[in-house]
Amino acid sequence: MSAYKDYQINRRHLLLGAAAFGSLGAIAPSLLASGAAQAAGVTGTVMTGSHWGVFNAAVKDGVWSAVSAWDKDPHPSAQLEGVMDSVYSPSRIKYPMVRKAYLEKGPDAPRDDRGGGEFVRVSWDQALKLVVNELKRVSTTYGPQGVYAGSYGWKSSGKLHNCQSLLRRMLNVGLEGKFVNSTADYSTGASQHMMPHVVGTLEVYEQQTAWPVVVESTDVLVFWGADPVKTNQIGWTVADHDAYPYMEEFKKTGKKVICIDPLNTETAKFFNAEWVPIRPHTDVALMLGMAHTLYAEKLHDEEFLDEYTVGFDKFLPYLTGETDKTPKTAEWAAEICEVPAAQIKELARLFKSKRTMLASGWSIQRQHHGEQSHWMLITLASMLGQIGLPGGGFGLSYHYANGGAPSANSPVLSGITDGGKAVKGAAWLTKAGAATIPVARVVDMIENPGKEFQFNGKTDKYPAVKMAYWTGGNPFAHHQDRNRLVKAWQKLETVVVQDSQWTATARFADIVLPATTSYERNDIENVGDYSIKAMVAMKKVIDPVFESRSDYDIFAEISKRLGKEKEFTEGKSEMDWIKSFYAAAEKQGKAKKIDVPAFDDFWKAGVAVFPIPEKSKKFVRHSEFREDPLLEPLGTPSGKIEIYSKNIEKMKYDDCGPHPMWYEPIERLGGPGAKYPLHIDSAHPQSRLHSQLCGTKLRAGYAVAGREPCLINSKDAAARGISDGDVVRVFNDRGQVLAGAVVTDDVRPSVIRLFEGGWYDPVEGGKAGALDAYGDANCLTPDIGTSKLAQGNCGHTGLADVEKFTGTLPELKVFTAPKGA
Amino acid sequence: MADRNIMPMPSSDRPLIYRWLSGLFARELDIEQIELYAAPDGRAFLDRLAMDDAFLPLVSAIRGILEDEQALHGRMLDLRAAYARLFLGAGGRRSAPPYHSAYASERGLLYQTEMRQMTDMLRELDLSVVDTLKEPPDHIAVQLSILSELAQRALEAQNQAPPPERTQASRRQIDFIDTHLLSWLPAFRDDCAAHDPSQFYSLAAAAVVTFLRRDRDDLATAEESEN
Repeated sequence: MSAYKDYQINRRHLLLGAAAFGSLGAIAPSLLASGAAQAAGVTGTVMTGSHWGVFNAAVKDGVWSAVSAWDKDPHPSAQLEGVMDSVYSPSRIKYPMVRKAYLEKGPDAPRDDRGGGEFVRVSWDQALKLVVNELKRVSTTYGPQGVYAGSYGWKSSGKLHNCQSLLRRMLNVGLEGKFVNSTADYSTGASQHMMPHVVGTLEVYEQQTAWPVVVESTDVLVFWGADPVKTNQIGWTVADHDAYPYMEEFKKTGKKVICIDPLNTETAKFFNAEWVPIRPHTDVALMLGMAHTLYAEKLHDEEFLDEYTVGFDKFLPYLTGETDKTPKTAEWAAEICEVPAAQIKELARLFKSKRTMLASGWSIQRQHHGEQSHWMLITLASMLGQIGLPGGGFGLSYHYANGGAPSANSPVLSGITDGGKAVKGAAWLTKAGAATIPVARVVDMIENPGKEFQFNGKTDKYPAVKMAYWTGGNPFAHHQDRNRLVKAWQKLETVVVQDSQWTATARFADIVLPATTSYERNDIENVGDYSIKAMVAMKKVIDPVFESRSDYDIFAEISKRLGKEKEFTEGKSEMDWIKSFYAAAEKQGKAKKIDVPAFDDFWKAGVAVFPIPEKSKKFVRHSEFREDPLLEPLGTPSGKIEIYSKNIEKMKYDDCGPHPMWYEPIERLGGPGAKYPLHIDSAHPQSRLHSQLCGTKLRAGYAVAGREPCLINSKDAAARGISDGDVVRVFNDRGQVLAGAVVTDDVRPSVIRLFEGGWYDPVEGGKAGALDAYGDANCLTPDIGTSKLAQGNCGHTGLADVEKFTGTLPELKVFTAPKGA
Repeated sequence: MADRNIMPMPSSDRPLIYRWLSGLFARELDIEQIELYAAPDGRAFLDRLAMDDAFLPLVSAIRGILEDEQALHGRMLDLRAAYARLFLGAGGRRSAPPYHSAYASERGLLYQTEMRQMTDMLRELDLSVVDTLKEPPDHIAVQLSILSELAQRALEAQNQAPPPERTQASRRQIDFIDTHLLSWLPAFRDDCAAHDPSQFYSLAAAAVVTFLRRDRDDLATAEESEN
């Protein structure tokens, strides 16, 4: 023992001094250098823009500390608070990462643990080497259809760092366009394909009859499956919120507002509206019942139908039941939609007797046979005969990005192109090259390479995709039938995800690249999707955190490694591009005689606001068509509103006929063979942008027992022994999620509301059928196309049941807020 | 061996100990570090650490990694995955964000007050974080490095400075440990214990907390005796 002590004493000084530091450098590294750092970053206020609006960021020593709304924002969104959180969230992707098994074995690695959370940090160089080699390998081995770059989602605002365009630009210039693309979106999948057949435009993304006209002339304002008070918080470019003061004005008039919705919405409460608690998924039946009433009572506008529409005569036998022995009477409709027949008739008469605006949301088309909804709405509006009159007719975008806010006389900014045209003989433009699929059929494609599919009159085959590169989106939030997706995802050999957040999709990737948020780079954007009232300098608020890089830099680097840097960048830096977009806007300004400030002045001021002419405030949608249908025809084959479409007739689809019809969806309340008793209303959330900001402080304002809230009617709750605040399990044959019960009669009986966009948090990551601990509604929804015509998603179709959860509560792991935080 | 920890680490070793602990969290264990642990200086270092109960379990884990050469590659990859899961966000909520702000701020965010305090402190010490480390200064590794620096400066003061300055140097370390380390590291250690698939980092975090507590007490005792 004494010898040991001697040894100890002798060893005591081994570690002394600088020599020890030196010899043990690698295991006792020096992380500090002498000399204080230069004051890092700016101190002051930086104005920038986002989907939630223009805002000011308070910055101290390069660290963002607070958010305040732009003083010209008439109705700042409460969601702004969450924007800063998303930048400094522990859920940020900080470094390039590779799935552990993939790092060991590459694309041959077992894929069944994708989503299991086993990642390893690698250098940017190693990560990009893997990405580039894989792009080459897949396109060489499997041909031009091997790489899927139909990446979709609400990418950040900004004309340059448009990650989806940049991804395709990189593939166009660097991989000769060898990739599979997607078309359309999850928002309006059904209507954006149906509307061109009916009114000749997308209609869902068109300026609406201006709000001042609605305030002045509309007597009855109907929000049909629309909740603009909630959804106008956000905009695709930078939200202007210009609709809000007009909604206030309308409210002050005391004129009638009706909300047809399974929920007593924010909008219904704001306007103190009459709530028509329709059974979900039955809007077409209700419209038919109203149409039948108008016809039966000779209230329909024959003159309008004759002059401005085609095919009412072919629709009529269906309406009256001549063709199918089922007259679509108010009584028939009442059975389906649970709105009393007398009320249906009253509403039809009211709409006819007053100047009525039918303002519809998109929820009613984001469901099985969703093509019918707006087609029938326009048919009903045609029978009312007020289309093109001030304050009358229909509108499909009052709830989106402040549609109806009067447009400024302003230049529209261009943005980075995907480079398709820049590539001579791009393979994807040829028949032999890559394909395009309807965006919501992505899982069907992965599962069924070579399978034929129908799409808007064409027949095509699914490409055999082996690799997916996803950026600016989160299919593990927005796509339906999560468990089908989890399984199908395993068929992909390689998945690359480029994002700023550890989204569920990033967790299901092989290679993860950390992108900056838009607040860590410079960009430029218009303010107001419809008002286009300003241009905002989206100035960098802070330097990139950790090792994140801008989307532009990442794709420029990949292009460089593919030997095409110059083609990708065109020799331009970030600011060069921004200036070039601005220069194009200046040119437009000259042509339009708009005073556009010089770039340096604009950049210094941070924003350039343009005047809104009186003419814009008087805009009436379809008024020109109404005034002169011959000189101002619609873009349909007949130039008129097509209640009957010969083009659709030629498609001979069994699930989408040539005129609007009531089709039974695969499942609905009261429908044939309905297996579960409750409808899942998976509307857009109040305090998020789809899934964005779910990981921020905003969640504290709505989460129940830490989970996504599930609204349930008091009767349904009582029948199941569920109390407010209980953790409940929502389940059907497709999946199961936990959520926190909110017992309220703001939701009609037999309907539960679980907002879409709750972060998927499987108890066993990567396992199909796993219990989702947080409350991702899309674990429960079906992954089917709306019909062969549009192949849109059916995110608002789906029945389920609810029970009080009595098992051991699984911990939530999707948010990184640690214990005690 | 019951009397093994009777003999505390000499104060001259404190800067090195903290720098070593910092290094465990600064980045993943790599082959350069493994080779160094296996070399004579590294082995001697581990032998000395093993005499202290605070470090013995962790040292055993390191020795365990060194012993099985065949499994070394796989074990290191597992450790990298554990590091990513715990500290780089891959584990989601089942993780231990290695930032004081994440534990102290109301919203569990990074880059908050505690980070500013570290920035100010570095400026005051005329130090900066090396640019190869892309982490905010309230990262555990930076904080432990700062403590190493404070310990080093105290050591120099002990040899050269008059007693009041020696006491001041000691007090500064105690305050730093109380305010910036023991205020959150026990919770961090618990998160590591709960979510570390490798056990390595839970042992490392436990070693940090155990040693810090003892060291803080030793500093306080020494301070009292000076007074």
